[in-house]
Formats: sequence, C-alpha cells, structure tokens
Amino acid sequence: MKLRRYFALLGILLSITSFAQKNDRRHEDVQLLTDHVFNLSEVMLHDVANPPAASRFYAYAMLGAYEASAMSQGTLPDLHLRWKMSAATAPAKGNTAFCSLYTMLEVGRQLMPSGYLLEEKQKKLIQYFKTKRKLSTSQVTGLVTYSQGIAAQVVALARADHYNQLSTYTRYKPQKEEGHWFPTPPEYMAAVEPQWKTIVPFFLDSAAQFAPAQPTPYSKDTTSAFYRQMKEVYVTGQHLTIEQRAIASFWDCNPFAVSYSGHMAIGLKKISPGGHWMGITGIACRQTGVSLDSAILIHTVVALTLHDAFISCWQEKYGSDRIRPEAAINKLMDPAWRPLLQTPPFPEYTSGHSVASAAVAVVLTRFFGDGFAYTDSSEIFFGLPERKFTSFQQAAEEAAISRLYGGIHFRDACEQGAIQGKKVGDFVWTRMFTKK
Amino acid sequence: MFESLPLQKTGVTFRNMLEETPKSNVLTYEYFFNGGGVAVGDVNNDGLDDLYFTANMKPNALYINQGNFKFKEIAKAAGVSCDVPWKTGVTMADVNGDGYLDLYVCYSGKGDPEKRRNKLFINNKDLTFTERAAEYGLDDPGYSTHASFFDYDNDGDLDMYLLNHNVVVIREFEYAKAKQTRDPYAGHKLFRNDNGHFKDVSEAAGVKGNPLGFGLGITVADINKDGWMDMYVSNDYVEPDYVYINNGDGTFTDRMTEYMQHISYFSMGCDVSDINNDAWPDIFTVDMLPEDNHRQKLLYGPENYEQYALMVMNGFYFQNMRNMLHLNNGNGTYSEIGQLAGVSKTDWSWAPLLADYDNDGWKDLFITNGYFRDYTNRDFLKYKGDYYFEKLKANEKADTFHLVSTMTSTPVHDYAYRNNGDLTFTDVSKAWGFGAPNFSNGAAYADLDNDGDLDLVVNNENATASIFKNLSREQHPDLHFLQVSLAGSGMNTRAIGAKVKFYTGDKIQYQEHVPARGFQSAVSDRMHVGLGKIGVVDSIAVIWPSGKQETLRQVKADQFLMIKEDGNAKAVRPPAAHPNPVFEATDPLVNYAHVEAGFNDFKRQPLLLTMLTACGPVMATADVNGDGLTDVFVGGTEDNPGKLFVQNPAGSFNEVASPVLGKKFTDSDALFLDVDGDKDADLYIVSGGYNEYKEKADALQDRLYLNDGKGNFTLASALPDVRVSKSCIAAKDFDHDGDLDIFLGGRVIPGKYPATPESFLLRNQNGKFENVADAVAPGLSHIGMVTDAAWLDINGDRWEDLVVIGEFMAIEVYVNEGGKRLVRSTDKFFDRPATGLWNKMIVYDFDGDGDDDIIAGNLGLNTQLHASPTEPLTLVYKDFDNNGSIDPILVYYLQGKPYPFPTRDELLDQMYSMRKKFTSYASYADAQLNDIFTNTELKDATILKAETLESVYLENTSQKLVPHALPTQAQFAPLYAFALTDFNGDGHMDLIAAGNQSSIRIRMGVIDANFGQLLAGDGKGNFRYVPQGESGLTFVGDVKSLEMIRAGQDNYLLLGVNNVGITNYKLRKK
Repeated sequence: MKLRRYFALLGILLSITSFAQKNDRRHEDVQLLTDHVFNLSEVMLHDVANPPAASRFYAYAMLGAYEASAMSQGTLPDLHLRWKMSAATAPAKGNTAFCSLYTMLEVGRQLMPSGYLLEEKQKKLIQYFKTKRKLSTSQVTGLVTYSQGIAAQVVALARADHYNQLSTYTRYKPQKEEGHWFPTPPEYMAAVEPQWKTIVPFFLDSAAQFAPAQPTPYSKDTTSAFYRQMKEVYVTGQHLTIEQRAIASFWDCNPFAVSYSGHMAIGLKKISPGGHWMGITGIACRQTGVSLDSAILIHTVVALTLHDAFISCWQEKYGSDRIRPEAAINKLMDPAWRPLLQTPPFPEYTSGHSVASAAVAVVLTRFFGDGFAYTDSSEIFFGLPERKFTSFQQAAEEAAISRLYGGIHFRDACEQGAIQGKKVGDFVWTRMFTKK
Repeated sequence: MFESLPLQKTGVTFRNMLEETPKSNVLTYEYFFNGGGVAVGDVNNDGLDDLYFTANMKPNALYINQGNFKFKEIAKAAGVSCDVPWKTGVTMADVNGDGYLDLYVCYSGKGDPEKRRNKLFINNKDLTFTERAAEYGLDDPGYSTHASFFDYDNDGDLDMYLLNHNVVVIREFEYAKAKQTRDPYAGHKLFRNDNGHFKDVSEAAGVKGNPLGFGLGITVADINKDGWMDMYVSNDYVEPDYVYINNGDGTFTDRMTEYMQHISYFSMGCDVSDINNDAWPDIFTVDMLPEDNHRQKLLYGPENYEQYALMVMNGFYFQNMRNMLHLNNGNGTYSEIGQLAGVSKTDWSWAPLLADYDNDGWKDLFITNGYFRDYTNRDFLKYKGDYYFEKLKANEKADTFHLVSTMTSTPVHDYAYRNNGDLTFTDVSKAWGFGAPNFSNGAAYADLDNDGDLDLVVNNENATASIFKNLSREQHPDLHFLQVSLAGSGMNTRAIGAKVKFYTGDKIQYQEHVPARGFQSAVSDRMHVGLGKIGVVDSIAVIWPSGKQETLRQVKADQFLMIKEDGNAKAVRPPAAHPNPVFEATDPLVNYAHVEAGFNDFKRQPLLLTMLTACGPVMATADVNGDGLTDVFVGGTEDNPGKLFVQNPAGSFNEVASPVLGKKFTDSDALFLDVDGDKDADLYIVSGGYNEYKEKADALQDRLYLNDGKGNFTLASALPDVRVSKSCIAAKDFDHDGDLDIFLGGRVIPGKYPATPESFLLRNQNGKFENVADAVAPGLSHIGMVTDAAWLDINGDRWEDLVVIGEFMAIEVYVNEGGKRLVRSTDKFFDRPATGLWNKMIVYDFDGDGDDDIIAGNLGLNTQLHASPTEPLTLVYKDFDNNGSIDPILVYYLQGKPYPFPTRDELLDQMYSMRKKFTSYASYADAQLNDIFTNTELKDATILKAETLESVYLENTSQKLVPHALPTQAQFAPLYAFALTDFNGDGHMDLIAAGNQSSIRIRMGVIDANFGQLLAGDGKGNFRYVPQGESGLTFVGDVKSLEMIRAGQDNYLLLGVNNVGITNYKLRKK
C-alpha cells in the first residue's frame, strides 16, 4: 500500500519537474485554471463570503474540476473521498481542460450567492475554446452537457453537507462570564458561522479530531499568563516595526473591513485566508510549469485541506469562545487601544489564518518540496506589494505571527493554531493518498 | 391649499447651491448636505414680514417684503450677505432691545475657526445692519447649527442657547471618554446676557458640551409649565436628545430619561407645541425613516442586539430611527405616539413645523426633507468597496471623490399632515400642494400677505427657495383666525417666552412665543391662531415672561392684535397640576423582584416579532389561610421561582415558605381555585415561556398545589401530561357536576413559532383531571396560539360558554351545549371573524344589561404595523427551505401593497437559499411574497391573519359580540393586563388597562406609551380616558398583571412589571 502511494506521488512530481516548460499549451492551460480560480475569488469578494464559507466554495468548485478531469482522463489519483461519483460518459472527443474549467465554474455558479456573475466567464470560456482550440459548436454543446452532469453531482454532494441547516440553529449569544467573545468595534458584526462545526468534513472523522491545547485561561491578574499575552499584543502593537506592519497587512485577508469617512461607511474587501492560499497555489503551479491535471489536483487538495482546516478551527473557536485582544485590552488595560487590523467577527482561539496556513503549507510542501522559494504577488489587486518567501512553511509561520502584529490574536492562538493546522494537513494528506 | 409661487412673481431667486469638489464634499465634511436656514421677521417694522436665507457656500439673501408677495433683495446693501462659507442656521431677535429685529447667523465647516465665528447683525433701523458679534460676546467659533434667544433666568433680557455639532466621527469605543470632555467647538453652549454682553455659562448652568453632541434642533418651551423656559435639544446619531428642565436658579437638568421612554435615533429638527389642545406642550422630533417599502429595504441592515444593548448600557438610551411625537401627559410623563398619529416616517427630515395651516383650530404639521446623496443605502456599504479592487485590477488610481459624486440622489416631497383633532393626523402632502420631490432644509411660516393664513418659506438645496402661498382664507373664508403681536416690557421687547391661551367655549388653544424652531430657522414673531367657525374668542390670556398675566375678553376674530405688557398685568402663580389624583404610588406591599434570566428569543427564531419568554410576573389572589385577608401569589421565572405572600392583620405581606416551588419553570398564569371541594384555595400554576425549552420539556408541565385550609400546600399528582408552553388557565364547572373544570391555552411550541400548540380542556373527575378537549370540544385543542380564555354565559342559557383569544387568532366562541359539548360558534357571534394579535381579556357586564361583556387587549395602533379586513397582517409559514426550521414570514401592507416585513439580511439569515435569489439590497427592495416564493412553494404554506389591531370592548347582545374600539389612548400600546374598580363611586364599573412591550424586535422599537390608563365607564359600555394627571398612574415598563386587592383599610392596585416585580398604588378614598 505504501508503495502504491509513493507511485502516485512520484507520478505527480515527475510531471512537475521533467516536463516543465516543455509546452506552451501546458502553460496556457494552467494560466486558464488559475485565472478562473481567481474568478471564483472575485465572486466571493463581491459577496463578502466569510472565511469558512469561502473554503467550502473553493472545495466544491475544485472538486468539480477534479472530477471532470479524473473522469475524462483517468490519470489523476483517487483522493479517497467518502463519496463516489457515478462515472459520467465523456463525449467522444473529450477536452479535459474545457470540461474541468467549465465544471468548476458551474459548481461555483450554482453554490455561490452571486454565482450568476460566472455565467459571463463561462461564455467567455466557450468562446475561447471555440476560437483558440477549434472546438465546434456541437462539440462544445456535448462538453457543456457532460460538465453540467458532473457539476450536478458535486452540487448534490455540497447540498448534503448540512450547510443549509446552519440557519436552523440558535444564533450566537454572548456568554455572561468575562473572558468570552463579544462583538467588536467598529461594526459589532454578528458572530460568523457559530455552527460551522456541523458542516460535513471531507476527511476529518469529527470536527473536534484535532482539538488544540486549551487556551491560556482568561485572567485579570496582571501576573497571569493571559495578562502577559495580552500585554504582549498591546506592547507589540504600540511599537510595530515597518516590517511587522507590512507582514500584518500582507496577511490581513479580511473580507470586509468597514472604513468610515464621517458617518459614511464603506466595506473594504480582501480575499479570505483561503483565497490567499489558492492564489499561492496558482503561483507555485505556474512557476513549476506543472501540467493542467496536476495543477487541478494540487488546487483541489489545497481546497479540501482548507475546508477541513476551517471546520477544525471553527469547532475550537466556538468551543473556547475566547475574547479578542481588542476587547480584553479595552476592558483591562486601555479603552482607547485599537489594533492595526480590524478585528474579525468571531472568537479568537485558535487563529483561523494560522490553522489554515499551516495545513496548506503541509500539503504544498509535499507537492513542491521543502525550501520552495516563490514570490507571492496574490495581494497586488488589494493594494499590497509582492512578498518573497523561502518556503511554504516560512509563509505559514509568518501568516500565523502576523495576527499578533495585527493585534487580533494572542500568541497561543497563533502557535496552537499552527500546530492544529499541521495536524490537519498531515492527516488530510495521509487520508487522500493512502489506499484504505 | 398651498400654491407654490414662481420666482417671476415673488422675485425670490435665492438658491442654496452646493458645489462638490474633491476638497469639499460629504466625505470631508459630513454635514455638507444639511442645507441652509430661513428666518422670517419684520426687520423694518412696516407690518410685513421679511425673509432672510442662509446659503452654505454662496452669499446669504435678505428679502424685504413689499406686499402682495413681491420681495426685494438687499443683503449686500444691508451688509448681511456673509459671502464666505460655511453658513448654517439663522434667527431673528431684538437682541439689544431697541424695538428692531437683529440677525444672528451661524457658521460651521471644517476650515479656519476664525472663519467660523458667528455673526450678530444689529439693525440700524434703516435697512442696514452692523456686525457686532464680538462686542456682544457672541462671535463663537464653534461648529454651529443654530441659536435660540430667550430669557432663561427671567431677568428681562434675552440669553442665548447655541446649538453646535461635531465634524469628526466618534466611534462607540470612544464614547465614555468623550462624554467626560467639553469640546470648545463641538459642544453646545449657553450664553447669559449680562447687560448687553453675553457670557458662556454652559458649565455652571449644567449644559452639556461633549463632542458627541451633533445638535440639529433646538426648541425652547416651558415643558413643565413652571414659568421657567426649558429647552428641547435634538441630537443626531448616538448622543441622546436633551430635555433641559430649567431649575429656576440659573441651572438646567437634563431630564430626558425621566420624561421620555425612547427617542429618535438620528434626531434632526424638532418642534414643541400643543397638538391636542390640552394646554400642555408636546414634543416632535424628526428622523430619517422613509415612508415607502423600497427605501426602507435599502436602508435597513441586520438587527444587532449586542450593539443596541451596548448603546443602552452605556447610557445612550432607547433610540429608534423614526419621527417621535411625545405627547405630554401633563404629569411629567410623555406617551410617544408618532406611529399612532401617523407622522413617524417622512424620510430624511429636517424641519418639522407645527402650526394651524388650515385655520380649523388644530395645529397641523409641515416637514421638509431630503438628502442629496444616498449614502445610507446598504448596497453602498456592502458592494461599493468593490470599486477599489476593480481600479487596482485595471491598474488605475482609485478616486474616492468619484465614489461620492456618483452616489445616487433621491429627491423626496415635503410632507404636510392635517391634524384630525383626535391625536391622529392625515397625510395631505399632495392635496395641499407639496407633491413635488426636492431637497429642502430650513423652513419657516409667516402670514406674508397679511390675509389671515400662514404661508410657508422653504430653503431648498440646489434649487430656488420656495414661497408657498396659503389659500385657506380664499378657499374657506368661514374659518377664522387671530394674529397677535406681543410687546413685552424691558429688553425682551418681543416678549419671547410669553404664553398665550385662547379660550373658545370649552376649548383651549395654547401657544408659546418662541420664533426659533424647526431646523436652522425662525418663524414669524407674530402669533397665529386658527379658530375654525368661531367668530369671537371668549378670552385671551397672556402670561408674560415676567410671570404677570392679563386677559382680554370677547375678542373678535380675523384681526391683528398688538398686546402690550402694561401696568394692568397681574402676577399669578401657576396652579398646582392635579391636587387629588385617583391613585397614589405607595411603598410596595408585596416584596417580589421579578428577574428574567436574559434569554434572547430572537437568537432562536430571528423572525419572531416579540419575545415569548417574557410573560410574567403573573399574580393570583385569595385568602389561603382562612383569616379573611387577601393573600397574593406571584409567578416566577426559570431561575427565580414564584412566591406566596400572606397578608397579616396590619395590612402588610409576609413571604411564606409553602408551597415549595422548584426552579426551571416559567409561570405564565396562576389561579387559586378549589379543585377538591374542601372549601379552600388550591393553587394552580401554569407553565409557559419559550426560553431554551425543548418542545415537550418537563418544565412545561403545570403544577397543582393542594391547600390544607391553613395555607400549607402540597403538590398534587392530579394532572395529565400538559407539557406545552401555555398562556392561561380558565376554570369553570362547565358540565355542572359540582366541581371545577379547566381550560388551558397553548401559547407556542418553543423553537417552532408560529406552529399551533396544543390547548387542553381538563375535566375534573373527583380531583383528578382528564383531557377531554377532542371529545367535548372538537377543534379546541388546536385552535391557535392562545393567550387568554374566559368562561361566560354569552347566550343566556345558563351554561357558561368559552371564549378563547390569541395571537393571529380570531376571538373564538365555543358555545356550551348543556355541559356535554362545546361547539365552535364564532361565526354566529361575529359578522366577520375578529382576528388580531390578542393578549388579554376581562369580563364584566359593562353596559348593565344583565349579561357579561368583554374587554379584549390587542397590539394597539402605535406601531409600524396596521391591519384591516382589506389590508390584513398575515403570517405565512412553513419550512420553505426544507431544513427543519419553520420560516415565518410576516407580511404587512405599506402604501396599499403587501410586503414582507423581514429585511434582506434577516431573510437571508433565515433561509440561506435566498442569498442566491437576492444578491443585493436593491434586488430585494421591491420583492413581494410571490417574488420570494413560487406559487408551488406557497401552496401548502399556512397563513395566519390579523384584521384588526385595536383593543376593543365587545358588547354582548346575547346574539352577537359587537366590537367597539376602546378610546384612542388605549391604543397607544399593546394591552396585557386589566383590573376593575369603580373609582368615582358612580355605580358604573371603571377599567384600568396596562401593557406595553419592550421584548420586541429592535426595528419595531419598544412600545411603552401606556403608563397605566384609567378608563371611566358610564354603565352603557362607553369609556372615557381619564388623563394621567387625574388618574395619578405612572406605570413604567411592561405590565403583565394587575390586581385590585384590599389591604388593611385601603384598596390597592397591584401591578406586575416584567423584569421588575410587584409595585402598587393606593386608591383614593371616595
């Protein structure tokens, strides 16, 4: 069994290295993929999809691409999902690139609130394949029908993951005891997805499977560990270096920070942590010149990992229900203190970005190797400069500590979050690539 | 009734033109679009009122009235054009007491403080003015909105309140600190006139000057009629309005929280005037709630209970976004009845002006409104941020000014309301000629052509100022008027602060002479009163600011009077308000604190209208120990069980240990009754509530305690399984077998509102109870969400029939057929089912015809909801998205069309599938029920209806139950509790009605206008509201129960207030 697993991986890695830059079309295909993944991000940006919801949209959309590719070519390894798709019959002259991209967009179109925005992308995709790849109208019609069939299966899968039940639960209620989360300035937005733990994971046995260590207990005692951590956030925030400030901003990934001019409010948007890592995944794929099916595989693995990482993290967030530094510092130290970043509207422990980043770093490292250096340009459209990294691990560690610099997390939420994320990443990888 | 005169006729070409530039726009200065003011007054003493307009950026204008609506602009020549921005409000007053009106112009804007110094133009009596603000000490450099001149210390000269505002946003987390500070520019100020020099006495006088003050309205009035002028200050945003009561010693105390139960959130302008002719000044503030569904849906975001709670806990009080009409009850309480009056939503409003525009003797209402940029549109907040991303993606520079200058702009017509004389108003905007959409700000009324009716002058934004000629006199010469100019003695030459009462027959009209009112403006200082068809005023009483009074008798209508304060005026003392009220609040007899655990039912079912957990405290009374004295049981909450209090011979009450009541229950009703025939009072406690109870939770089982005759209680096991959240018990030996049977009303299935819960009919079988509802009374067990029930013999056959009411239920009648069957006979007794949101009943033969009648409490008429047979309130429900939760969609009529009540955020939170359907606020803004759901989806949905929201007296004619509306005051709030007493000993039973509802959706806002109402019965089924001052009732809070009991030598009214406890009033001895 072990051998089998390594075979599969070897195949992928071979395709990464040995055929790199051999083929312009290969580049074009991967570029098409990452462009369309970004189209998904744009819709989420518009809709203000919250971080866990975003991870779910990426997961099912990528799963659509993966299944379309796997079914029409059969070269992709089995990811050992809990469900089996019924094999769709590919049209006589299949086109993996078209089908996988179209299916991905179709799943996104059906699942995301403003999915209709992808209709235009689908039309453009059809046009592109007609003009650049010489597909006939009847061919396209066949491929679209085929892709829609796969998308329908994926959407049905998504509809059975309890997402629709989230609105049946009692909404978040602040606890009476001190030390727990309470809505934070400036918008005092309602708690995001308090019942996300009920979403069906792809691989985790339960949402609580990788429960992190207990958070440092809340205490007003100035000598306590909690108080020291709080003070660290406070002091760090007051003496941020230019580099720390840049790091915090680079990893902000806040889908909706409300900015005020007078009493006029406007929501400033960034891609979620998941969206940021999807962007990094694309960068790595393009940099190495992997084939389209490999790129689809890698994107899918990253998206599914993100999905389960957020379930794991959200389980802990609403279990420990810990107060945010902003609220704690305002209450215990300085009512006027404001963090560099706007505090996101959900409990503090563990840090979502730390969990997600660590988990994704595990799987990306497995694909591309340790010490994979790259330049992250995925935040350029959000007004942030490029940033160089020496490895995915380094990036994940920076993402974790950035939350402390940004004043929105305590140290233990970043550190324990990273441990939690690593466990999720390792587990997901093992599950995916081990024949049961 | 009004004609907008063209500028060609009037010569008034003034326009308040605003030019948005990258440096100067609503982003850089958030009060950019607040507009200008207008002051009206006769500056040349020629008998014709002249006009002064302020422009924010361009020169101001002074128009001399040349008669016949011809005006001549002379600002430049007169030296009052004020060419440099940023100008705001204006007022006219004879500041130096020389008999000529002077001008005070306010400045604001973010620039140089030196350019912000307000200007005082002293009238040179020759149509020129000299600016002398510095000399007078009034050249304040604050961010001023407006000023009001009046004599606060009654020393005979004019002092001044300066209304300022901030120009920077202060967020929630900075409030506490900000409250402690006094801001030199943003803080409001009071100036005392010391022999012609004005001194800032704010701090010593107790005037708040914190930077949270966004003052937009100041109206001075003698709110408590003690002879000292008070001030109402309306504040935009979170800072509450101020009700500054003059202490008569040079200081003011803000008594807002004592006087008001809730206030406008984004208070704009205000006016204080008597709208119901009871000689007490009422208060009106305007806010920004749009009238139509479309704009409301664009405006409303998610309800945020935590943020609202923070606001209340931090001392910012209960604020809601709508116009508020605070009716002065004459005893220091105000009933906010803006919604009942029909004047609560006039969009983004600025100047409210109460005056009698149609000369019928009642003050009508005119309101200006409109905001040039729709920046409160939720789509802007949520989706406009995409602009920055799109720009970066296109590698272009983002330009925030572009966002601002491309924001949508929606003009709205001004509003005019005719006073119906019964606490309600009718919208006559279009009928009176105000149908044209515009952006209007400051406004003033004056009789510009001296024809005996009030014309209107309005300062518009980016459009010519409006002069509206009033055609009342032309159209209705039979409706009379009087106009009065006042000449005070001393330096207050125009007698600002004088009160004038016009007596005609049994009617009184009351006015206070304070020209600065509305928004940034001042009205004519000639007082106008409409008299209807009355040609002679019996008497006019003038109370001068000095406190002296004089009376003119038999004054002919239709003339212009000048009344001078002279030696004949006599000093008078204001009479004591109400020497002998019917009830007097006394120390609590029953010491029970009612404590709610703090459940927020809206977290469980976000689309509930009100919380269902808060249903107590309930009370039951009986002599439990046979000593002849009435004892009291009070019901409890989940963590705080109820208690029994036994009366001792001294008339005080002692808590006793029996029965032992466990935790976990929410007592929703209680009754002492003899279930076992041993002639003592056993105690039945009904379990209800919503809490976090599961559907069949054990906490929903009732408890029956048997009395040993000495007041010792033991829990009986005589009840079947009745684990349903219930509301009421009604006991009667309906089968006449000699023992008491019981009806129990099911209120709600916790978590499954509004699905029908089970109700029970328990037959007493030798002390054991058996549910016979389905066998005896088909349909009764699932009649609806029952709130109350009563047994009474309606048809006179000596068998007690059962009447059941509930939320979204008809008043249901079950006729008792010989004790064998209860047959639903509602249709027989009602021509049309009386569906409503019924809460409570009380039964008595009010018309003395030998049979019992019913008073039934409903939601009342003081909410955003209304209902009628043609425009019913409907609650449509099923699990539309098949996810296991009921989706209750309230549908209500707005401007003649039914719309869903939930906002987009609320709907999307209830049903995730709707997120795809309504991807923007605009896409949902016009959605009706069939845009949300398909016909197939709606086909098997259940629809509950309410066709009336009025509380009623149901006259029993033995064939019919005929509904008659209770008096308007009884419709101020939902009624939840009644008690009976013949307070005046006239042999006719009187009624005490109480209620209110504060466990309610934020958007609905607390309903709290009922302070306990005494309704005097005449024995014929008619009820007369007894004014609060006479009744002496001042209930505050949500009253859930009332009991009249005798304790010691007196009769007491006990009231159970939710989350407070039991308080009481003593009934005055006859």
